[in-house]
Amino acid sequence: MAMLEVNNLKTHFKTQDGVVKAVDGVSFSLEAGEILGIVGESGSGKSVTALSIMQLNPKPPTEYPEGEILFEGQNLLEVSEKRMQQIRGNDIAMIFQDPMTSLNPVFTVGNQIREAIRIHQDVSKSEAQEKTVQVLRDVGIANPERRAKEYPHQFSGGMRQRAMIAMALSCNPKVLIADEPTTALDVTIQAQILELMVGLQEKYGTAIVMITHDLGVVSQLADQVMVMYAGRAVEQATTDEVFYDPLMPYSWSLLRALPRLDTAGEVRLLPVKGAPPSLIFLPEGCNFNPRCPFVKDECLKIDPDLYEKKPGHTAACILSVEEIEKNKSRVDAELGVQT
Amino acid sequence: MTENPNGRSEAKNGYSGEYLLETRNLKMHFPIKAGVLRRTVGHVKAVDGVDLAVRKGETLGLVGESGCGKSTLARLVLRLLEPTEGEVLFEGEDILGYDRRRMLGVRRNMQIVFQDPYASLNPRMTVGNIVSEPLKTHNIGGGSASERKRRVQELLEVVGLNPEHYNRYPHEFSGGQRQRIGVARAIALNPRLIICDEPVSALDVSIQAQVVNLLQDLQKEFDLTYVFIAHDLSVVKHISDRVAVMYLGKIVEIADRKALYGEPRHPYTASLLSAIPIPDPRKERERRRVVLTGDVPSPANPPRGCSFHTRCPRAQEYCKDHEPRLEPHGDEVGDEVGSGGEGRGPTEGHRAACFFPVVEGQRIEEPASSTPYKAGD
Repeated sequence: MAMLEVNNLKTHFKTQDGVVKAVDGVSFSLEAGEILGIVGESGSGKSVTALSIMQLNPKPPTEYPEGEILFEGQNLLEVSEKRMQQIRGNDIAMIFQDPMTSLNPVFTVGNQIREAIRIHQDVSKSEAQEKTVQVLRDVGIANPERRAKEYPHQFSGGMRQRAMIAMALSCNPKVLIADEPTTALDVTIQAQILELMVGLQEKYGTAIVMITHDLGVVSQLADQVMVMYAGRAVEQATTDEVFYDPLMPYSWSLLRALPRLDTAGEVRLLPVKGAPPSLIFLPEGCNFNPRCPFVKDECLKIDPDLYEKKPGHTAACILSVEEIEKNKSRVDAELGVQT
Repeated sequence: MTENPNGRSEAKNGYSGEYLLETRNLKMHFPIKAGVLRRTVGHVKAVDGVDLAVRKGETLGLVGESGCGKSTLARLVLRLLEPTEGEVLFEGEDILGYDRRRMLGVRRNMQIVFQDPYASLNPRMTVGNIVSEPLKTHNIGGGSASERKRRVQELLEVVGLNPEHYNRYPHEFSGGQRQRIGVARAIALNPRLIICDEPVSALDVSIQAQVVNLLQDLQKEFDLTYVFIAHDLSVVKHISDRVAVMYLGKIVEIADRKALYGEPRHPYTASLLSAIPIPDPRKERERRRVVLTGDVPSPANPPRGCSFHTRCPRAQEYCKDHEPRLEPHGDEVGDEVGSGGEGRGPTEGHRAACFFPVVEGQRIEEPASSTPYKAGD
């Protein structure tokens, strides 16, 4: 049994202008010790997926018209809030994007980590204190005894994110959801945090859901990748397959739009034309058709599901593998890309 | 501002017409005030002695982590901030002494595109008014409203917006489109120099490429010179001819794009480059990463000696007491030093400020020699 299994998850928000289908039929499964990368642009539903797993979307306006989130076999959409509180932070922990706003400024860092430990584990105050110092040391904070007594504003950005990770790991969660954990950080600090996360994952066998818009971060860490567009998963496969043989024109376009450190300046970038669609007024047919470089007439009518294009590699595109490959080489030739 | 008695004559002699913009020993020290009397208790050395020369028609990339002084430098060049010390030369003339009227004339030729497309456009003005504002200020475009409108619509078309959107407000546009409006405003006066301060950092990847391509096309079409500031080294590599790396208010390395990315000399540049993930899983698995320890020190209290020594994997005792200068490090070191460096600007070639520079093929962690590097040795 998978550690975490999400089946056809739909998260909709009822608004005055209509129903926003923020997540509209997303499925994935995650084994212990595995890292799943979720990539997509802002507004594609990455974070809402994460918040749905944590059951942190405000109700109303949130509704879950369909789907299930199975954690060790129990459906998180149906468990009571009381049970959810036991799971949240203890079995499934989350790291948020902005370490500045996700720590409480009026309590010491140590106090906030101790709180998490005391809520979920039956330990005395002094044991919780010991454990707090221990996790702070684990995430590489120097002088953890002294640092635990300091407030978040006394920490730098990278250290705050370390403190967040320490808090998330303090109860040895089975699943860690990291929502853009390094986006607000400088690259040298990002490298420190990513190294730390991989180290902890290897040590404790935590399963990680890594949400990011940075394709580089995904290629560095993830075993599997899910690409999201307008609330849907549009491609799912192993990391290598998505990067070397993308079968959804959107994933391919993203890779061609990105200047890469190893090849930058040698080829012209291929921008994705237009902008992501409004989630209330989605285009007819395939959601991506107004921006797709390979679009054909049928795409304007048919709204594709995720098809298995190759074993273990699904993509939401009606074009056959041959058609996609042909289109890719045609555009690559125009751009002068060597493949 | 400190007087530099040699400033003017140097400018005249040194100006060959090759450089559009030069800064000499530019410093910006912000005072830190504290206590009831608001006495100055220290200085934040945001920019601390920057020499930079930008050639006509080139794109100079400026990279560094947050707080290294990139944006302050941009504001000093445009005189949006008055520097504590140093010179800013535009077409060979020190503009720091200019009065308001003469400055207005210079500003016509130097424009800026800001990072945040949401905050840099006035929400109460229509796009037409935003883009025609510089035309009005400088009294260009014939002066009549209809002629100005025609010019603005032309500009909107050049940056890939619909000219019929003249009467719309910024909130009706997406992030990428807003950044196009910012670009239209910047090119409205046909400037020679555009400073792009993180113009694509706030945009999604798919949109980022649209703006990068637009900037490249405009450069060709209007013969523009760019100073392109960003923290994303991949974007900078894509767009720049030469690249300067800043750390704690100083330039620590400057070189042609190929040399800087291919054979970085400064350990900071080398570790920055190794820290950036590449969207290529196989290459990622093979890469060796140098993870720097700790954070950037505070610019209010920078370390003694080389400001990077607290985080440097190659640092030695010598680095703690001596401050390295930006010296030639490229292949042409010999000629340049032998000939006294005549005819070459202060920032030409491959320069780095390091006593124990990284040599090609060497690991960053192992120091090359026990004797500090000297150009020409």
